[in-house]
Amino acid sequence: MNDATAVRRRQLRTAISYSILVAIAVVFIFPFVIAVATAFKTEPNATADPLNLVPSPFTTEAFSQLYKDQDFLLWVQNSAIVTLSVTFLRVFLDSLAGYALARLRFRGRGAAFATIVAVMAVPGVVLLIPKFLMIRQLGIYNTYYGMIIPLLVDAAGVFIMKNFFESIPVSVEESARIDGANIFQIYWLIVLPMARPALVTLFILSFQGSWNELAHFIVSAQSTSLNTLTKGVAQLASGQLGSGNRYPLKLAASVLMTIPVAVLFFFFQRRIMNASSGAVKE
Amino acid sequence: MAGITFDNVTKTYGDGFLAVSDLNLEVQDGEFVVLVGPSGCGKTTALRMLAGLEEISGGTVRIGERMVNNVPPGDRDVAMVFQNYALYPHMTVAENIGFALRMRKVPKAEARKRIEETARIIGLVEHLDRKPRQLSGGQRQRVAMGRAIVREPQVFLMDEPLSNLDAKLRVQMRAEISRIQRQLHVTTVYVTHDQIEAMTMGDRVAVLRRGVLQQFDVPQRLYERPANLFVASFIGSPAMNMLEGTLELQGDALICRIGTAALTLPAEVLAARPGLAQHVGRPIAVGIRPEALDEPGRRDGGDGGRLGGRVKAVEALGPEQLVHVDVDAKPVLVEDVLEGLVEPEEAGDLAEIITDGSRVTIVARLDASASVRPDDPIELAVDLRHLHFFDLGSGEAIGA
Repeated sequence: MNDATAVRRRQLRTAISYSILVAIAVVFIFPFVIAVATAFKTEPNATADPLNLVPSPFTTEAFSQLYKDQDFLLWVQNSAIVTLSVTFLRVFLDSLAGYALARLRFRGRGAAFATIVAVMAVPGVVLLIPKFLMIRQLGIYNTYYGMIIPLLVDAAGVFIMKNFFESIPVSVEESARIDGANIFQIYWLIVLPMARPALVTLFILSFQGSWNELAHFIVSAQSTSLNTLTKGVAQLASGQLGSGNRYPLKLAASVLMTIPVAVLFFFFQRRIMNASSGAVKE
Repeated sequence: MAGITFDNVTKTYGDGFLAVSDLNLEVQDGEFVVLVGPSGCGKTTALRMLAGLEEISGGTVRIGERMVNNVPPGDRDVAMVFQNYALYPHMTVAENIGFALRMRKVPKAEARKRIEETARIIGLVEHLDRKPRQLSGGQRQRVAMGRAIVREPQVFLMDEPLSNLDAKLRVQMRAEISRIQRQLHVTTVYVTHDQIEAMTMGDRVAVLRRGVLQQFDVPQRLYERPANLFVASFIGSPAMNMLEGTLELQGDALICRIGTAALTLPAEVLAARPGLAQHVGRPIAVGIRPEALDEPGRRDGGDGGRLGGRVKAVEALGPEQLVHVDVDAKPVLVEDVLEGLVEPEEAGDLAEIITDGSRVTIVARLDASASVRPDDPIELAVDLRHLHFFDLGSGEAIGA
């Protein structure tokens, strides 16, 4: 086999690989592209030609309707309140629990961790009704508290944080102890800043999870004044008879809903880095 | 500043492992004491008990007059330098050095002054605003030192602080740490497995093995009068040659037979070690330092005996050469010796290298001008005044 043939074969292999990758990428991206395109279509255009990627005519009518005819800003406000509360508190509480499980020696530590791992295996939907009953019992149904408190700690977050804290060299914490720091100071001043990669990951997951949460908000509140984006959009999606399919309106809401999570990913991806670099000689 | 006392200190772990057994040690105020021994000997555990990072199972530890068994690490007024530096990676050099002052609520202006003073001592004034990841290994090590210095503690604790540096830098940092300790005159306990570090840095050196203190003395005395086979094998590089011999009395003269060689011991040897008389007729371990062997005729007066053999290898080191010689003698390969030479898992390999059963390879430190070539027969003059004798049963040095 001469060199020219070998080069041609290599080029062919590369071309085939890229074609397959592009095809797979298109399959994944296509639904989102359709959503964006449809958001800028008129309703007749969206109904007649749903898969066409070029709106004809191009219109922002769906977005105007969202503001004029729906409580879109209220949904955004509710989603923001719940998501930010849940995200910040969850990152704090998960890391606190993770640190305790990773470093503190107390009776029942192993059992506590085993229980947390076991909870991860329980499908969330199984807990919806018990959560509803507890929220009612505690008198926080139809309140922000009922929407926020049950989401504050999650097993997966505790698990992630515990594993990360265990990877931090113990000697760094021992050094802080000798320097006179107490346990909370070690956690807050030394360990937490070192856990930035895990915190960023947990922050993104929590933000995304609570921003996109629907089932819990259905069981924890009924009032339309507490509707979040997910609930509002879900109600649009199951709109009343005679109101048409409203594809542009629904997809305009969906597209707007994805923006905060997309921005968050874009902003934080550069911040995920190894924070413990330089701490110890490896 | 203060002295340190370990009084019958014992550490037993949950699984029953006895890490430190009945340790008695008294460190004087301002003294630089090195704890040395092979891995698992309990040196780091002893240091961590002193730091408060490890609970004490029995006995008492005092810093000055104060018993510190139950005092938290932060309240012991000790500063520790860790093997892996243990710097705070998200803080600058200045913040790292000043963290302990911040915890003690030292006013900012005073803290700043002390940080700058410390940076001058460790030579890092230019790097105060850098993060640890922007520093070299040696600079990070100095930051770790700086963190200890700024505290002005009663005691410095150092846990193998140089073992992560490359060989040349280690030699420099060795001198640097010694200089800083002398300048500040702070009581220091320094842990290392490297006996050269121990011998060059310590005012006194404590040799540990399997959690038990073997000998605690000034370096020169450890070298010249090792208390037992383990210390004799552990201290010194190249290690002491350890051969089996027997003592015979011929008239007034005491003869030491090693293989086919008969060494007539000078009267002063017996006078210094009267206990030798009780070992006549019994096998003993005879230790010969490499520098106690030389070409015949080179040494003034000390040519009282010869060991014959064949040169196996020659290592030229510039001013001197290490000559490996196969001699007709029985090696002493008891655990005490092997553990002093290498880590336990390597003991078998070492035994295979230095002996085939009836012959043993010994090392002689000869002058660079000595003419020796591999495979040549050689006669080595033995400096009989510097022989070491040990009881083969107990491993203890034979003395009084």
